[in-house]
Amino acid sequence: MMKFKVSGLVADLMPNIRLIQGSGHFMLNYHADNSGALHTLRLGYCCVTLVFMLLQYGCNFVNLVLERGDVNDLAANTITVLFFTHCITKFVYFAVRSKLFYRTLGIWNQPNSHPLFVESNNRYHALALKKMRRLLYIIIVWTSFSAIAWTSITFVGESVHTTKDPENENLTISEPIPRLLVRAWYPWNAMSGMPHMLTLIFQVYYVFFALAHANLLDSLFCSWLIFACEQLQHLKEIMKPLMELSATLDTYVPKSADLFRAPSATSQDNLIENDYNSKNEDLKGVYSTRQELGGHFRGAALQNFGAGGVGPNGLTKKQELMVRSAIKYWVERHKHVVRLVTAIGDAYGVALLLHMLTSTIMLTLLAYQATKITGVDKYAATVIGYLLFALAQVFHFCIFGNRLIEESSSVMEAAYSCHWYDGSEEAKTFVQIVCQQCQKAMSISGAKFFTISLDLFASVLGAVVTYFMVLVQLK
Amino acid sequence: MTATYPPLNKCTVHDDIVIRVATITGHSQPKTMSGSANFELDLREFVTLNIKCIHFFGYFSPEFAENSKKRILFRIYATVFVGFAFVLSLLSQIANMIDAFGDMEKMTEASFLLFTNIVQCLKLYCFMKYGARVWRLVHSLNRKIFKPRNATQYDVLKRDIGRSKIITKLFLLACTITYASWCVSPFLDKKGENGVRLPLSGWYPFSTKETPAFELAYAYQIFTTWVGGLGDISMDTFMSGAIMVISAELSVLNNALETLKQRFVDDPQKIREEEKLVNKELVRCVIHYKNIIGFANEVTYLFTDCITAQFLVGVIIVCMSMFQMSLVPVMSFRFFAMMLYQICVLMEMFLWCYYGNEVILKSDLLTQSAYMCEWVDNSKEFKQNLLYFMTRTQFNLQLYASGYFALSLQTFKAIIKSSWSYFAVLNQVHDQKMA
Repeated sequence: MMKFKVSGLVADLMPNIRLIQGSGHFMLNYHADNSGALHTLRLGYCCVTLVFMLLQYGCNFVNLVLERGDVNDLAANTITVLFFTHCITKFVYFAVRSKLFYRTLGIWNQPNSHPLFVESNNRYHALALKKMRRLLYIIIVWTSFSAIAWTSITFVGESVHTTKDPENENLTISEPIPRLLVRAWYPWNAMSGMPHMLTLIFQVYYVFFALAHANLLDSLFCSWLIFACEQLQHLKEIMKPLMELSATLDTYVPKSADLFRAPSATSQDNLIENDYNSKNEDLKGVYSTRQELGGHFRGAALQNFGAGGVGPNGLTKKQELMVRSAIKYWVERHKHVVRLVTAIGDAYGVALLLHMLTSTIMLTLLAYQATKITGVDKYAATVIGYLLFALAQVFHFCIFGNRLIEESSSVMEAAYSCHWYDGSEEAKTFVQIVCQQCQKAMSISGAKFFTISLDLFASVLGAVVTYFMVLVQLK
Repeated sequence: MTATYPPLNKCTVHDDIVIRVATITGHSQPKTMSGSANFELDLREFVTLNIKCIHFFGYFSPEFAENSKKRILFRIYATVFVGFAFVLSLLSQIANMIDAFGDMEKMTEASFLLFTNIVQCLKLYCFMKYGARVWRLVHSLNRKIFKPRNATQYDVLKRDIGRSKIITKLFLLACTITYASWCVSPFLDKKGENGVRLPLSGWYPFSTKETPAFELAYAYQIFTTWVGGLGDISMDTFMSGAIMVISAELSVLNNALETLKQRFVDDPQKIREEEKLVNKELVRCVIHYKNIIGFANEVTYLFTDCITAQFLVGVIIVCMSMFQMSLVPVMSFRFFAMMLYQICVLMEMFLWCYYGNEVILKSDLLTQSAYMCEWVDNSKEFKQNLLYFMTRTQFNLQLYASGYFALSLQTFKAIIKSSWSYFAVLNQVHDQKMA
């Protein structure tokens, strides 16, 4: 069990984590008090949720098998079963691979920092936080709205289904079925009275929690991507001041020359370590970005300029070390982002692949169902509701995957557009190596089969429209 | 570490290739080689099981000395065995094909095994023509630069060797089950048909209806197709084993790049020497990559014809067997046998495509792994070398058959799509003929 330490991504995503824990996912870490009794209680809650979900899913499936005679019923029930397959898959997937999720959440626990860039870092961190909150609100509203809409549409229209007339094989009669959210088989008679009420409440709980399971995990994934994108924005922004830092004095006089107001001659020069900020809480207030730099720098004799005079770029040894430390911060931060994105891909790639597989089949069937819409009625509303929901889920992660690709490929743009020609040799080499790395954009792949981007969404949408057009023609 | 590998016969001396002295019966002890003694691994383990199988079927001669008695004996054994089991059966199938020309159903029944055997002929020819070069390839697996240098790399290689062996064994088992179901199917499906027919079609100079002739022909068919199938699969898994080596070595290289500087202690007194050593490490990685590319080129050169032929013919085979499956009732044993056969053929190609895809993905990761090493504090020379390396690794390493078919999952998808469309066309034509 991990020690409860609220920092990094866990602190930022605490509302998400609490909601995920509340909906019954097997996320048993991140509690202040993890004693045996409470832990068992939480585990019990998760298991009970799992049992309920599987039971109801089983009832749906039995209903599918029982009603497979009629083509319309078969199509409708298959769509329902596939829809909830996807929710169950996400639930079970998280339970099985929760270690990878914990690892991704813990990756940003100890970011490095540099006094020059603290302000920019904080600004983008706040921006990421704001976007993550906003996304969470949207997801909550969307999930609740879908659950409420589903419940209300149950009470609209007749609750019947057509079966073969037992007297005459060629005719069909409409037979009443229980007025419930999803068609399922129960071992008791749920037509009216108390059993009906209880079954209805159970189904409302089931629908709401199933939607919550799927959507909350997707929003966790997207929040990670938002965070990674904002970090990349931060890195792009500080590229320019970094170049100015290392600019040679004879071609360009940087305004930031007064950054290098040297402290007393006897001060030691140390490079800032990665966890400097967390070790020196009291120094936080001392640094404002463009003021004094003081601090302690490690005197690693990496380059000898003679007796500490002006170096080959016109910078003093102190300035050279400052540039070196800034570059090191930039590179380490970028590597950290790359590690974060790799961990996100490892944790969630397979879930996305499974999602796309079920969605593809479900959307094909929905296209078929859509050809049978005759007017504005309950049937049309349900089909369009399913369609919009499924497409919205795919759009949700495709748009953030696309943003990641865009951000990571624009880092090279930023590297090129800063004044690299004014920089020192070391800075130019740094820009070169960064450009080599950033030529290939960072992307999330669905277990090596496809890339998550808006192209994927466009191809899914295009396929649905094509099937719909073809099926309409065939009718 | 105990010697778990079956020793091989010849010893060759090259600059980087390690000497290993042993006999085929495993009497003498192998010499240990220089390098980190903790991570000792014989990389030929990737393909030793396959080589033993191919030896047994006479397709590939072991390394005997020139003109020794053993060599001549093996040649005689190979000729007799291959001739009896393979060539005769092939001739009978060709004759059958000529005999059944014009009748679509009979032709498809005759053709699907015929095509597999033709491709097998080509593979046999490749192994026999390039025998010496294949042996050099196998021995070059043990070059010093391919050896693991830390625990992670050792684990990766060991795990992949294990996987290669399991895949070979599973595949051979699947082949045996397929042929077993073929043997059994004429007896189980015979209700309604006049008598028991032979499981596979073939042309024999005698009539196969009477008792002794039928049993003989049946036994011969089963024996030859089983032996042929096993031999074919051992050759295929040898090739996929070679590709697995490339993929495993790329993983090792990725790890070596990421942990480049970790072997060196940060001692501020010895900065100069440390810089030189770190630079040397990077250069070693560059040479490693060059070796991997060289190995991949050699593998591609030796087996390019086999792989191309397998892809082209595989499409036809899958199409024919799907057509055969559509002719028989779904629950019959023959349907099941055909489906197993189809799965075996697809698996052959899938193995190559999957590991070729792995090679592409891992070589894509090289730029990132190089970036992840601690380059900021190093010398200018190191950074320039790193830049050259990263420029080269922008282009991933793709394995091509005949310069056109890339070994990747895209090619596999294209194969399945083509087979399906040819099958649809064939079905249409057949329905029209029937109607």
